[in-house]
Amino acid sequence: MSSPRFTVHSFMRRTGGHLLPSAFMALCLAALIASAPSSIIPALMAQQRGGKSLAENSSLRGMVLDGESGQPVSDAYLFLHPRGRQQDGRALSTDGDGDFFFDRLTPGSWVLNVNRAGYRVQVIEVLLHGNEERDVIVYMQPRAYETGPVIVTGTHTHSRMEPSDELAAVLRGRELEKELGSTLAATLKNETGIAMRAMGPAPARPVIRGLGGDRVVMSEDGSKTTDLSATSPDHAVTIEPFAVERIEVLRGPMVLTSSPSTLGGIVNVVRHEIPQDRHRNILGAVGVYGETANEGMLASAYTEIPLEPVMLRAEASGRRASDMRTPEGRLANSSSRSLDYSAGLSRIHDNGFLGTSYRHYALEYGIPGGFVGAHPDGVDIELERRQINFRSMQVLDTWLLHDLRLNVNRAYYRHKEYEASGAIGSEFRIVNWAGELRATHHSFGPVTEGMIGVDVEHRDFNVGGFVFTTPSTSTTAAAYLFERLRFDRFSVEAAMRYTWNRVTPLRENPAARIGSIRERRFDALSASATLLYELTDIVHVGANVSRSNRMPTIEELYSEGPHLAAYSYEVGNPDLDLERGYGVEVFLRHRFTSLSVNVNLFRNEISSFIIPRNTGVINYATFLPIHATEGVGGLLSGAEMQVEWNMAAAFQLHASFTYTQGTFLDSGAPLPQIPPMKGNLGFSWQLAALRLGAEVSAAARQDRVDQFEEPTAGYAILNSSAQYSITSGSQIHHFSLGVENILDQPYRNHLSRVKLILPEAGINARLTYKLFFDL
Amino acid sequence: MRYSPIAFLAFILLFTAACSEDDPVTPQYEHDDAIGMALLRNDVVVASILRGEPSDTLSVGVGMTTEDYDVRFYDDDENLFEAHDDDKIFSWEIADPSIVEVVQNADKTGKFEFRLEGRTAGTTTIEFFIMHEGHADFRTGKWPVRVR
Repeated sequence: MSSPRFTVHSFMRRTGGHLLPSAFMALCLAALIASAPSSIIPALMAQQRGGKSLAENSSLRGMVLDGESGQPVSDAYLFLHPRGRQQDGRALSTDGDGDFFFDRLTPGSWVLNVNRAGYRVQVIEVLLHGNEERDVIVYMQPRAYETGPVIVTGTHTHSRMEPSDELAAVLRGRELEKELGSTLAATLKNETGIAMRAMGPAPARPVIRGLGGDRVVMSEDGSKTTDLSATSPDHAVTIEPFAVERIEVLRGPMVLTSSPSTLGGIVNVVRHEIPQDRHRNILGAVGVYGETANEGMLASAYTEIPLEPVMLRAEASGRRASDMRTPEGRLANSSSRSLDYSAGLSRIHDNGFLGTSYRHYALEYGIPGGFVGAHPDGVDIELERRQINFRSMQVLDTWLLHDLRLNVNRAYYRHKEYEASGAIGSEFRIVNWAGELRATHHSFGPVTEGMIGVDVEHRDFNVGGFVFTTPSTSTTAAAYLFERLRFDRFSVEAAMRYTWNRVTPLRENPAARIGSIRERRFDALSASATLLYELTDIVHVGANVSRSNRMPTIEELYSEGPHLAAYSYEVGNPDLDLERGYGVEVFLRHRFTSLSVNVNLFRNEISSFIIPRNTGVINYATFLPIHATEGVGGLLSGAEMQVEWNMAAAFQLHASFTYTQGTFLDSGAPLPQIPPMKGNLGFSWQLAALRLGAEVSAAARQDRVDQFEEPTAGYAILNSSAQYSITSGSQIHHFSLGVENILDQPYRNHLSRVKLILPEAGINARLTYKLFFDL
Repeated sequence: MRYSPIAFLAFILLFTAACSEDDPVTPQYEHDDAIGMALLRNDVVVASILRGEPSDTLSVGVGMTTEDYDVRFYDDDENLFEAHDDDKIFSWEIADPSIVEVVQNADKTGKFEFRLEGRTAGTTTIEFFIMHEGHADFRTGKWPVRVR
């Protein structure tokens, strides 16, 4: 017998009233289980018809619709039972118009479980009062286009915090498939406020508002990803983007539940590696992907299998790509090959779940050579990550706490850089333990929801080969509090986090050339608050203020020696102080029926902004340029804008704009590695199951550059896309074709080191096919 | 089937144990912190290159061979030291090998002494290296050589 899943992303309130207790419970559950819990709280609202009285019973009437097309879903299986009493449940199916009706229901909390082949299971909690007839609309999300919203009412209104939630961008479903690239950063590069740092196609990482490195936390299902991608441009992110359900880019106070650094953000991929949906069928997907610019190919599959009393999820992906073709020739030594697989197991019950998973990710790729900042002959890198996760969530439902969540994971990361001769140039090994305990509480007074948590992390960082950085350990402990409040037309999101960190070198050396290598301890209190004011139903304004902290990393403190792939001699600074910043952001959300506009202005001032800078000095043992880490005063400010205009039922125009300016506080000179002003302008046209789109992506010339940094010319390129779906019984076939840089124009990414020798990829056709099945 | 938390946790522990790693990291290489190289004859420096700047152009006649040079290196304080030649290899790269050749006695191959042999008249450059585990611990920079 089926029981409810716990990922009820819902937000329910009575029409003109307060949140229903059951809806609040669902909200807390959503906040608890989702990796970035509140970033994408969807609109789930219920409408009551309180006036009609049935003699002794309540009833539930509704309609099931396809969340993508809005068409009725017939033959959907519905199972309705009183909460905690599945044996008293009743089942029926929707009729040809997608309608259903349950009558003779007793007052109380009911759970409605909706299943349909090819769609995600939806679970709704409904609180029925006596003699009440409740109407709901259930939007089933095709597994191809996973989205958040579950239920809306006839009178669609937005929750008040929804606009501030949009500090987070979400890429999912069709948009995700349209933008899908060979790396996570390439997939996100067209999102507002995001740029891509790269050193060839494989090693790429997102940069948010000019902030890169570990100011942008990468996470999977809410757990931080362990790799070295934050430390150097030649290091790759260990996440395969093809098999993810959605990608969230989270900013604002919620960031403090994972990191003390609020000025960047969190890029979280959601896979549900540990299953949290319980269903009776075997379901899954297989997919293939190909692109022409590098003859890249990928095959991927995942499945979820019910094995009473547990759920099993298994996933595997393999990818390979040749050297990238550009309009000016092949980029030698830019090929890559990866293998990614995982297995997850969980037991889901009425009051939570307990689960574990294992993931292995291996990647081999080349770093192009022969330009300033790269090895003359190029370097080959092999890396792998093995990670074990354990998660549990239990509903407590005490007078104060709603539920408790525990996450523990252990990651083993190995990274080897080979010179052209085959010799190991450098080698890194990380063993990382992380644990988090989080509790969400019930609403009280103006507090609508909140959570409190602690997390600890221990990192053992070992170094070998031709690298002279001392092996070290790092231990971090933190406690945080996150709350949401509502006062009439004002809504507030606020969080604070205290973090303690100790970095211990294996070999202390008070007389080292880079300074006194010794144990360092840091502690900091970070805070962030967002205030939102509802000017009208469709115009919201708000502001965010943040105090951000970032602890220097092991590499920033103790590095000394050549980094062959980056072809620099890296010098750390053991005297570095905390990177502390204050950020202010104001925003406007304007939502007409057919037009929505988002505008953001931000200003982040950072004392001791930790960056590696080319000193202009040569290390005369290796003849490599010395890049020294230093803390400087920095100011990053800018603006972002997004416009979506539904000109006709099937025709939409969209535009976005991003500008960031980085300046040294003392001299007023430009900070290094700041992305240029960029924007997109495009349209999409929906024709039944076919969607067509075209877009121009443009960037301005970037000539605000640091010493020894090269300016980059502006560009405009044309892209197009077509997507088509076929539903056949319990299967959905989804095709996506995208063509990037149709005119094969040479253009350069300012944040790419490879730009010095060759431009970005030339014309590139990408074909994706996914088959979703439900057996 | 009755759910057993203990069995479940045991599975997790087994799972964890099965995934342990025993692959040691390559030891960090010992390296010489050199900033220059000197050529000595009878313990007297006859030529040097420091921070990529040579004191003089090396020279040799066509068909002639220089006397053997002993090789030493400069540390950060510009003091001379000998390379640990048990695991270090002396190596070089000649821009135009048709002009000049670096010669070592058979029993001194890879050791830190050599002589130059002029082949044809002309000018070229040589870069010397301390090689270790396949990579250059130190490189001199390009040192001009003239064959008369």
